[in-house]
Amino acid sequence: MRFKRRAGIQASIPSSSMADIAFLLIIFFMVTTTFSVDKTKVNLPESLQREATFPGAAIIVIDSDGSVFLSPGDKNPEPAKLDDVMVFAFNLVAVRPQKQFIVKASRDVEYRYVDKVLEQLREANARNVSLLTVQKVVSSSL
Amino acid sequence: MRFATRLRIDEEIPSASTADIAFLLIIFFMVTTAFSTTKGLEMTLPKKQPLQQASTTEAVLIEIDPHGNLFLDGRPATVSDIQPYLRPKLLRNPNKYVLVKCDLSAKYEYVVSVIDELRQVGAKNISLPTQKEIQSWGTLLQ
Repeated sequence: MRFKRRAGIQASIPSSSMADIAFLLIIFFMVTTTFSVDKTKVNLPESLQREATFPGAAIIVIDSDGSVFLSPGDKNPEPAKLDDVMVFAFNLVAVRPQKQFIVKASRDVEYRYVDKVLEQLREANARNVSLLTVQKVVSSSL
Repeated sequence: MRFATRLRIDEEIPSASTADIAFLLIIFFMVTTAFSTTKGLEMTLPKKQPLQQASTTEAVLIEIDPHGNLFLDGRPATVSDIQPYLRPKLLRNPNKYVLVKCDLSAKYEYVVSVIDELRQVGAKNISLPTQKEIQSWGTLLQ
């Protein structure tokens, strides 16, 4: 006896909307991506109060031994002398008077280095300075 | 006369690989994304000219010695004393000046912890005089 063959339905996973989902995700990542220019590792001090810094701000890195690295904001910080900060800041402020500066100093560095940097920034008429910190976590005493 | 019907070929744009391309792009953006997490304590440096002279009789003076010991208006204190000491003063005068004078060989960490406390209590006029400024003030802070 011959059985009647069933009409063959092709099994397929509907994948036409996959590309749409993927492109949505791409757009999300493209919008939120900021390529990190600063890759220096510094042990930052902690604080509870923190305000967001503006992207594109110049970065002044002070290592724990007092060595200084400077970046105008679009490339990785390069080593510099402590006394170079003023000329560096002056050139940036001359182009954009509201230029932001981020001081990324190690928590262990002696204050004299930060003092010297702040002094030079003031001399160069830089106004907006952020002292970079990491979030302080308060352990609740329950 | 009957013409032979041509074999019909379904017209479609091959889109099977679109999702693959899109996912590759997603992976690229996911790997390179660094969400902007840089935050810190924002400071506004004073203009070089004219020199803003905070009156020391009205300002609160916080001194930090090389070992991180604090002196609130000359009296020994700890970081946790700053808020209770300043709160009533700031209620009376929200624009009260606070001078933070840090010893040059003290760790930068101490300064940040003091500024953090001042920000938490709501002090707006925090002055971080540089060594050069202190010298120019002469015996005013003595």
